[in-house]
Amino acid sequence: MLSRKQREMYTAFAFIAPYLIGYLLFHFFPIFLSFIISVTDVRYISRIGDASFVGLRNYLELFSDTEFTNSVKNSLLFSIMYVPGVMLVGLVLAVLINKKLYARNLLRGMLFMPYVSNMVAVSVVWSLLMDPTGGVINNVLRSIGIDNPPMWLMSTKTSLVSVVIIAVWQGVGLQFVTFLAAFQNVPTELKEAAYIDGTNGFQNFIHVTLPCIRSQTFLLMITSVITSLKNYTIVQVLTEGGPGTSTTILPLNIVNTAFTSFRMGYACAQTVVMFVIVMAITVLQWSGRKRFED
Amino acid sequence: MKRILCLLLIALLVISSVFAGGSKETSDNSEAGQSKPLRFAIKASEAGRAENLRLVELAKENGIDVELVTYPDPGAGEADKLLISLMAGDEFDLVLSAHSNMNPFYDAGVMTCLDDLAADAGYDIAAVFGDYPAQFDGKYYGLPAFVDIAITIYNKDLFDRAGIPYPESENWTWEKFIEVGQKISALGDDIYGAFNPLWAHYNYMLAMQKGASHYKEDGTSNYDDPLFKEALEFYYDLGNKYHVNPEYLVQESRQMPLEYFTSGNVGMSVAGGWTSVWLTDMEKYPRTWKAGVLPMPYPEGYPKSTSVVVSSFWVPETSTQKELAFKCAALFAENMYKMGSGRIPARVDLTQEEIDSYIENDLLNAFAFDGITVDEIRAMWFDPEVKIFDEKVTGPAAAEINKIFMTEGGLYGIGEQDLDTTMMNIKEKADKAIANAT
Repeated sequence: MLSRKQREMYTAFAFIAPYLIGYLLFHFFPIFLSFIISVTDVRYISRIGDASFVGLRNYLELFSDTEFTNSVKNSLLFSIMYVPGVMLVGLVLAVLINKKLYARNLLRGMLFMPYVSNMVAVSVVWSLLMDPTGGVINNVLRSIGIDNPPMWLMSTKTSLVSVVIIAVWQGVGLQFVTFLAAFQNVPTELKEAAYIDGTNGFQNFIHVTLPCIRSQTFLLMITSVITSLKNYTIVQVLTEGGPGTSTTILPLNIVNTAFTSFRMGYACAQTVVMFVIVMAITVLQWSGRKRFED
Repeated sequence: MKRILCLLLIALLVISSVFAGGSKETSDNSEAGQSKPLRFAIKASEAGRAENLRLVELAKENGIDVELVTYPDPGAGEADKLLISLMAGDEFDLVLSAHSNMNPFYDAGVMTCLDDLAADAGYDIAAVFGDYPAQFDGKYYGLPAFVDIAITIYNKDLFDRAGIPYPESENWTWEKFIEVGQKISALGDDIYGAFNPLWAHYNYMLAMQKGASHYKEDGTSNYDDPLFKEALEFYYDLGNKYHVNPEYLVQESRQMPLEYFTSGNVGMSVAGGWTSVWLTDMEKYPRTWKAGVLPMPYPEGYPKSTSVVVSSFWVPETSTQKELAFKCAALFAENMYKMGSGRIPARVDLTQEEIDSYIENDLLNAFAFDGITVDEIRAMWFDPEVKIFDEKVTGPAAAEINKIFMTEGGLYGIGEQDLDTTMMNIKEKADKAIANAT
């Protein structure tokens, strides 16, 4: 006869079993398998039995592969621009909408809308807006006297920045809503006390509001960094990594290596490196969390 | 009581599950000695096509039971589900693929060599299909069902407005194409002499027409051959220099659709023969202007040539009825053009009478609105003097090479990379891709 505690434990396991099985099968097992495949020369179009162990050859090749190093550089650049961009814009929008504004609910809905919009539709619209030859943006810039407006997505010099702008526009909804919700939990008595002590609105925001929402800020920062490094869809639908390889980020390079070059082993070595990069950044952020929150 | 009810329900569920799987009526085909239908793998997007259903009927009339088994179309950047399925050992008996798409299947070892099957059946593949069948390492792997031959289609209305006589198939060269294209482009800002989608094969098309090959004898890429440099320059010049096509930048940034020719603002289109559907499907592509057809242009001073995409039936290694599957593949390959979709047969054994009869009875009616004649169709699709070449790369690292052309050619197209650097990069990257693939 099982004790009540044991019964509760088994029941709990029964409840989490569907998720746990799904996680083990579709997350943990593929991750584990990636490590194994990364030390083999498995090709997507060859039988697994024909594969052989190659040790660290795939990893060593990464250092001399300019396509890989270029994609890592692009991924890091993407994150460096995207994370502060999306956080800052989200915060500013939340501050503005938090004030008593006309049609505030409507604006709130509109700002969140890109976040739930279909990425393909978003990319078509933005591509047309950013069309360097006859798009709305460049027509406006020309009309105000800028003779050589940017080429946006069509130049190697501006394509990554353009993708980041669109990514920030698309992703800012989540940051904005989270910041807005966090603002509601800032104790008004603290703000009032600070005002009485002589702070102005800006000082009040910096010294009272921001420290009160640091947990949410930290969470958003972590998720933004991970999202930006894992990003694939937006680049695939906007530029497919071009022009040239100017927007080929690491996940895109991994997919190309696996499904265009058919080098599954080498692609897995890249995924392991990406896993390590994301993990290292996350660990660093977590370790800095306490200091951040203090 | 509850427990009994539960047990009853579970028993009912189990029994119904078992019989649900076995309720399908299987046709007994004792003539062919078939114990089960041949499984014909077909993409979901093509499963509903009448010609495929007619093929199944044709097989039935010949005593072969065939069932269509659909698999999901791969999206952009996705793996081919059929390849995964075959590599996992799933049983299929027939597949229809374009030759350029068969390479990964061959490399994966999931295709059956047809040489022995043909010998056992006493079937002379070369006598029926000539040079069209898919071959790898000198062996037959596919029986060609139809061939897509590239054509030129043109808008007669724009030719009338520009005061240009309609071009003729005789001596239809690229030089003439550029000459008339420039005159049509001069009609207005939004009117283009020609429009071709941004596809990789245009980057090397001219080189192929001049007799170049993608690979050297030692297996490396041949992109240091000056013909490829000339071909790439020619393609981008069509837009950037001659202004026959939209400039590359305009075409790329405005995401001009594949069917832009049907807008009525384009003089000519040079693309696969399948684009004739833009003329024949008036419901989907309604228009008031008339169109004409021509073969693909060729470079002056060279023999007439055109690119082709051959689609072949092949037998997967996982088939357990290979002899019957071969027999069915031959039946389908020989007759698919008769299934009412206006396909061009990939057969060399048809008599002139059979070809004329096919043009008059099956093809001509579809072009009635444009008043296209038997001679024009013959010149476009049935000229025995035209030299054919594969539209796309068909050897090792084919998909990657096409991608390299798009990436590097695109940089040249937007003016960020000079021609020599572009060709050098293409050669270098293609060699690396080939080395990794072999």
